[in-house]
Amino acid sequence: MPCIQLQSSDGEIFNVEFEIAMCSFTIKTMMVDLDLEDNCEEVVPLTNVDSNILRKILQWANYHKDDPEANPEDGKPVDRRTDNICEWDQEFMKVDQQTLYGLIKAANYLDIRGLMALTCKTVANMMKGKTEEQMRKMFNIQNDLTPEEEQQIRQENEWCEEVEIVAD
Amino acid sequence: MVKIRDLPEEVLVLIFSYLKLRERKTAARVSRQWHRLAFTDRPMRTIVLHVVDYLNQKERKILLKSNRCYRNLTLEWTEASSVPFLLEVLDKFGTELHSLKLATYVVTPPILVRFLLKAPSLRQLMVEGSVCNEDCDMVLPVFKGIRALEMTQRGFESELCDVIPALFPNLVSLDLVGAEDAAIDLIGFYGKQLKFLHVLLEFSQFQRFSNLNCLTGLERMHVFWPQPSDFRQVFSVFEQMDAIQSASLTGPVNEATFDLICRRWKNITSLCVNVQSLKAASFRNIAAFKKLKVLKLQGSIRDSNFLKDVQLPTVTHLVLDGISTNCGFYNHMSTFVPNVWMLKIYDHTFENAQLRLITKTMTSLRVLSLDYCYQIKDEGFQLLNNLTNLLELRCWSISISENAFIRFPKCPNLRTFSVGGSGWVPYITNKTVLDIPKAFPHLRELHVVDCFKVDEDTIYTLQESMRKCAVVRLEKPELDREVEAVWGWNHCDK
Repeated sequence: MPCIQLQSSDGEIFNVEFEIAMCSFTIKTMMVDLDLEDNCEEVVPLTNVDSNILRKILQWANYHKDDPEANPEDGKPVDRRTDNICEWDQEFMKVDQQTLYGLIKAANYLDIRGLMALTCKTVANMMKGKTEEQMRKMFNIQNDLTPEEEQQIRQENEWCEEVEIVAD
Repeated sequence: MVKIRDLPEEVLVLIFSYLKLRERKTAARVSRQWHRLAFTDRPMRTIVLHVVDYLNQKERKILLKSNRCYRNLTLEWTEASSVPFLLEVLDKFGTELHSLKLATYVVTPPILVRFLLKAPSLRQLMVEGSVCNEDCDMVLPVFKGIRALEMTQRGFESELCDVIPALFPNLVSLDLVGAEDAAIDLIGFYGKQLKFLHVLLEFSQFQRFSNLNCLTGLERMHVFWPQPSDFRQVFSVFEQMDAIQSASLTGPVNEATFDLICRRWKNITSLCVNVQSLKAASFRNIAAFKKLKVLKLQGSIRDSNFLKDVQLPTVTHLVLDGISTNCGFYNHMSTFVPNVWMLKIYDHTFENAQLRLITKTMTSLRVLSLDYCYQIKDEGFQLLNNLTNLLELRCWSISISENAFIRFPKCPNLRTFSVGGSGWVPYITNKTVLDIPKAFPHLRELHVVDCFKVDEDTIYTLQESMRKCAVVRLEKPELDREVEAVWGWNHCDK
């Protein structure tokens, strides 16, 4: 099985199967652009991802390597559900907030769509069913809204509603 | 230490896109940044801004200061003097709009044109009220981007058959309530380019509709005709629809028509059909549909063997809508649709004996909805325990006792439970709903809808006690929408 070498920001080098590394569109593009596909000696530096996060990501990518590739143009409606996370992923997402945000930033940088959806759904699930005060507490956010802005939001919230799906 | 505020803003927008409107509204109240981002994502398609003309000056000012980005707008007005304000609203939100609904008594073409010119990306227009043609000597612009038109007016003026095609030459979706001669003319005008059609036929229009020979491009259709209708009527119009994928025929079909669609509609994936005037032998032709996933049967069925000797292995969603059988109809369910995972039964004759049969033989069910099944008694709920894969249960207008749920055994995997009904549900009390979280330990969502004996304090108590693990809602769950949507325009090719 051909491998490539990925180097984390703290200098650790990971030997990764080609197939697994290709879940990242960033790496995929890099490989094609630099014409590295036949060259296993080259080390690809990932300056934005530390070894802890990279290890987690490779674990996720290894488990999901056989997933069908998501093609946004296949005409299916965009998945907006958050209750369809498989058990392995749920277990995988049992991490502290810092790791979670680290994963999101790395998935965003590496452009790994499945992991991006999983991590964002997980954060969305943390928001669900909470009041604004509970959300502030959970995410450690200061309320910096002025009374006028609060009134604006309250009022605007009253005027919009969710409807049956309309044409796109 | 990485915090949520260190994430790029486009990631926060992506996170908010997974929220329902209610959660989004709360998120908008958290901080200035969240307020700015919670309503800006493009993919969120289901939020509509509803503007009425009786807003006071202060409210109008607030509205026009909005920094949100809406894709759908409804304008509702009664006074002609409100038009300047509505034009300001369109100046504010118009450029992003994909759909616009106008609700008033009369819209004249000049007003319509002024509105539409401010919404260049518009794809769908809905008019609730009349489009009146009184002063139409103006030169009409052409709105090429508009692909879907919905008009609820009855008493269609034949002059509109000139105006509408001139304004909207590219329609692929037409939704007309009244099927007067003029409406049939309009359908005929768009003909081959139509992909979606919703029409309510009146008896006198059967023949003209049936003789249309241009609907070859239809992919989705919802045709309603009233009962009693002429059972001899053969809808030969259906014969040409080789491209049809989804059809809802809400009126009895006769055997000749049913035979015809079974022969011709090779690509159908979802079908709603009224089978009450079909014999079992004729119904068996349904096995010709090799791609059918969603099936909805309507009408009363007297024949116990109606489903016997026919199998639809591709069907995953089955809705029995208004079926009343009082017979062994259900004996053949598990062989009829062996791979179904969503079953909805709306049958006031359905009782515990039939429920026992279903829970024994259809153990792969993940979603079960019992609507107006008045004969189900409390003991019937015990049977649901056999359905170990059940994730969602809906009990709609069911006559259970106050203690029904505390005696209920623990449905092991149930995540979503909805109880209530439409209008009048006397059986569900404060005690009944307070027992629900105790009966279903893994519940994540609870919907309590239109139960007039349940007061707000009880809902509040439930919301507080379940906050950690579940969401309590007072709105109808989306199951129906998902199933019904397959007959709607939104799934059409864009």
